[in-house]
Amino acid sequence: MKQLLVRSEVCVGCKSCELACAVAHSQSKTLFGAFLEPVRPKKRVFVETDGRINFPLQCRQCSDRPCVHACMAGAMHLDPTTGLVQVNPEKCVGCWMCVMVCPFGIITEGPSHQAVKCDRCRELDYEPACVSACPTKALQWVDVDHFAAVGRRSWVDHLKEANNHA
Amino acid sequence: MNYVLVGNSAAGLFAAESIRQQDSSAEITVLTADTYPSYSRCLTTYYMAGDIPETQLFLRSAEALQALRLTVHYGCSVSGLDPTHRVVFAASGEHYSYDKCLIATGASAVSLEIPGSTLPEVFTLRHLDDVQQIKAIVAPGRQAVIIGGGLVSLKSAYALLKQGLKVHVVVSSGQILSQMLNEEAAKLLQEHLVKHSLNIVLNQDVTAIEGIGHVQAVRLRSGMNLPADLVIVGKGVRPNTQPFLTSGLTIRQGILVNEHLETNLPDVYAAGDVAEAWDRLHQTQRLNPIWPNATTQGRIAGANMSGLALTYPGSMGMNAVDFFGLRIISVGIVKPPTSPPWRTENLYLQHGSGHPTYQRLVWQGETLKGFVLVGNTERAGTLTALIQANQPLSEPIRNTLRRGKPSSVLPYLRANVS
Repeated sequence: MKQLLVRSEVCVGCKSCELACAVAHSQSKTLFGAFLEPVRPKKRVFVETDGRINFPLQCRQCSDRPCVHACMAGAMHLDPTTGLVQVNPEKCVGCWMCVMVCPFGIITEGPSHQAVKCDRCRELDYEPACVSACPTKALQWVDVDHFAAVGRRSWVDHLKEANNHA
Repeated sequence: MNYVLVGNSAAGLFAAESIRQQDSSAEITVLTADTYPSYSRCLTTYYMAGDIPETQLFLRSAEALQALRLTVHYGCSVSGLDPTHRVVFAASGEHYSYDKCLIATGASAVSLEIPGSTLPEVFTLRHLDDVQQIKAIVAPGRQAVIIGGGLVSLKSAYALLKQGLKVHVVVSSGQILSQMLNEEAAKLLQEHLVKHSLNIVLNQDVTAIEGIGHVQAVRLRSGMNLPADLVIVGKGVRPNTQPFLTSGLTIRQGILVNEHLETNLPDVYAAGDVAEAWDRLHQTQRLNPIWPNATTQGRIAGANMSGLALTYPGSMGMNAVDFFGLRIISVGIVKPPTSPPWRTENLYLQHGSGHPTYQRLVWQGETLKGFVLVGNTERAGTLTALIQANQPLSEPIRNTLRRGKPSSVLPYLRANVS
């Protein structure tokens, strides 16, 4: 199963993902259309930086799901068909208990006083727009095994490099 | 395997879901004094305010409940438990055998024993029925007195204000939300609520509710009378342990449970408002009657009942509120001892939206133990995670947090990496 994974070392902090995310969650699905909409769409990915590390952060789909446990409205739920934690806007009352417990701080307020977070581009049939927009492939939509294999290879390359210099 | 769950609210429902996930052939029987499918008690004031319809109170759709295949006995008050014969008794005379039993009977609102407290317009607020009765007599221009300054009281006050009533809140102590907030934060909220026409009377007790046949006024210790058409008593909750006092369970204020949420009796578990489970900050078993603790305990108890061995990481006091757009989130210890190594850092910021913005961090040495955010509560969860991590934080991270910059999630990542 594919996961939304991050190689923070190649993130340059360009925020293309933030823009693509907002557009993907707009009515028109186009950049100019999104600007003209009466209610501006909200991004659900945040490029955090401290000058050294850049990290595009969105819902990490925690296995212990603190937001689902904190939700007193039954709005934050595990979608049985996709296995993803999603917000049901028909149930959310905006109590912000999920904001209180999300360890990544990625839940924000939507236009109608409701919790908004990354839905892995549910409307685009789970092809994340942030991944398509990322120019350096810091954001990847891949199988975990593939991601790990690339990581192992790059570790071996580093090791060779270090030996060459030794 | 035959599971009997006593209680149908947060802990009971999450336990049932957890058991069903582990054991597709389980026989799950739910006994509940309620007459409704699982609903959110925390949302009853939203319903009272008119913010949501009644249908939105229910936690799961009919289809989702059907898929759980529970045998639910509504209106079933449990009267006792016999651990030797593994039986739960109902007040109606029925009895239910169990292989594994969960006690999730929750808590009841504490009532007030003063003259006039039996008048028909005096309520506590815990059940959907309470709200239905209150809604029936609510009308714009009427006056309500709320006794107590806790969360249920203030959420009720908010609901009645939204319905156009004149609302007075009478608080015995010198601040509102005395369990959830420190004095400064409480003051900010109080100013905000007063701006929205709430009358708050501090350091005052109600000595009697007056009226012949109906509530007419509330008498204060000062001798003053507040006119009232209805009274809501919000004096906290007490665990529903009464049915189990002679069952051999170890009960202090609530039913004591270990790290697997087992009671002292074999195959009997407890979860939610009725249980005294491990509190990670106070380092002891303690009542912590809030929604996230109840659901987490329910899920873990259910998993353990069906054969897993999960450890409950421990409760923490926490809450989030939003009154007329002013948001407050409070987590952990917010009123620490005044002596070292305990220390607090308070920061006032001016905010564009006109609401006050305030941050209080509570430290024990270099470890974050609690916080209060007023106004801007975005990413409060990163602070919660730092409290849960329970590790001393480096000076750069402490400085970042101290500055109150909301988008400081990287410290959390690094704290976990290093």
